Amino acid sequence: LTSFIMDKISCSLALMRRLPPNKIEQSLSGLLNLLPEETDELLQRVDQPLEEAQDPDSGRAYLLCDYNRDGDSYRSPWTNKYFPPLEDGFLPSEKLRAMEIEANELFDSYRELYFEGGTSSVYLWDLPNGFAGCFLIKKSVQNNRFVNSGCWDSIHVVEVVNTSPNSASYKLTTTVMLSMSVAKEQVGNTNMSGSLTRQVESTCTLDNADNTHLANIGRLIEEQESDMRSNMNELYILKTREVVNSIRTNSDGPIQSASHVATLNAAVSGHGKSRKVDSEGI
Amino acid sequence: MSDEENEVEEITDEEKLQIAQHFLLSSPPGQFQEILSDVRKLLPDGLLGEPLAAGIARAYNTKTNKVVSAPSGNKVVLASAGEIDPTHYVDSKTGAPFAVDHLSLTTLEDSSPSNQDSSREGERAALQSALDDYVASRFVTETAAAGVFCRDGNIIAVVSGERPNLRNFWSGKWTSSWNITFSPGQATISGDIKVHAHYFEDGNVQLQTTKQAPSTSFTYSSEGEFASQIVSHINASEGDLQGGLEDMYANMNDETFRAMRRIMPVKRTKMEWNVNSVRMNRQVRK
Repeated sequence: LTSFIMDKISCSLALMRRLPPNKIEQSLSGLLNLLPEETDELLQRVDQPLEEAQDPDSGRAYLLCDYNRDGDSYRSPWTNKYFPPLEDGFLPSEKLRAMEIEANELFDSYRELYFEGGTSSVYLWDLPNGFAGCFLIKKSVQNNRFVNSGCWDSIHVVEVVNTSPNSASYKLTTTVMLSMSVAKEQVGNTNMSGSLTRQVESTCTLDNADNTHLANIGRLIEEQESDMRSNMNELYILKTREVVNSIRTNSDGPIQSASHVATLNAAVSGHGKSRKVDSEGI
Repeated sequence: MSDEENEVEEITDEEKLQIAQHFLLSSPPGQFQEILSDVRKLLPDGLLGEPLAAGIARAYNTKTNKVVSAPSGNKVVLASAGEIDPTHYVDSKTGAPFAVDHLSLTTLEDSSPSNQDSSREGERAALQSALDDYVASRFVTETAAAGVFCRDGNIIAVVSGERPNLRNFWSGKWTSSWNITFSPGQATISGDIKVHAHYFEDGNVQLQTTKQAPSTSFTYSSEGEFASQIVSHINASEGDLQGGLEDMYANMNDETFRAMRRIMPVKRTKMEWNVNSVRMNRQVRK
């Protein structure tokens, strides 16, 4: 890619960092309309909330992404069939499909443990020296006691390279997208939304017992996703609280005259001028 | 996409500008220039020129009650109620009009005739002074101001504060707008409050709040009483919202966020990534 095009891609990514994270699809759609020739690049680099479809054969929901798509049809992880049906849609090898079935079973259980609802899907594909997979979760909430409407999307993409007969290296990239409309009359119409992407690389022992590929991948995903959930609250959401409180103080104190406050402020900043400050941060 | 791989459908320039405008009007606090700079790189050269950009900036500034420094040195609010024309506003603290460049936010002295209604000047001035005290006491950031205007017999009060700290990847805005109408013997106040906070160090998280404050009517026997009742109502409304937000944050981990994803599974142990284990657990659960 030329530097001219890279510049446009960086601008697009920078914009996605500023635009409201509860409007990712709309923002991405706008970018695709401005840069139609960079459609593939943008879709590859910008994650958006997952779409869901129903597998009519199994009656189960499954998630849609580029990795289970062929033309306009999507392959269900439950039945390995494409919907709408395709004559000869791309299918994983028998060996890979066996692993994929197990992966979906495990991930479905993980999803139930942490999300108590929602939909999960896993799709695997071969790589020259290993394989790759995407592990997806979508959880929508409506009319919950604390959340009027909300959505959590996890997109985990892992690349596995066999480094030796008993070890493998795993590179996991995780994007979490969250949007919550808070159910609390006192805060009116409040939306808290966010998007984080993290990456981790790990080399693990590989065996047929506790350290199978799926066990190794599963543990990496569980750890990274839990970390990100934790960071989302502790670092990010709580930071917005600090930001609000750096603008207005909810004190019960009396409202003093502006000139009095100005005198106080002058005294404080005069004192402050002789102190060393680390940064502008709060 | 594969069907149209070789056809790149282009939208019209007009449609591109609509997209650009939409992005600009969604700017988080203090980041309009950054978004403008990036958006221009995605548009044909020169399509979003200065005059167009200034027009969008004006819409953004009045929508977000932008705080600027007037030629008098006062911090003032760029509010629709104080607009004489797209590039001229009234400094409601001195009554003097000023010119503004919506992109650079610089202001210049001006002598345009003010379009403010002076029929309620007594109440308006008293409220301006009382709200100046309110802003000085409650707003911790220096970039804060109150603007009180009178148009068509109604008083419009705007309170606004912002704190951009882009170097540390955050910015925020708190603003409220109040409409005060008069009828024989009483005044009625209604309004709304908007809060926007953005943190974007290696991520993008935003709080966006809009709340309609309850409407209330009251009687008064002096301009001072008029002003203090309004300030009291604004203080109570804004305080109530901020208190609600504090509660929300305090319970975020265990309530709101937990509805989306638990911190730990119910049994408080991590998952066993073993198919036999999973099947056994499923049997037990049945």
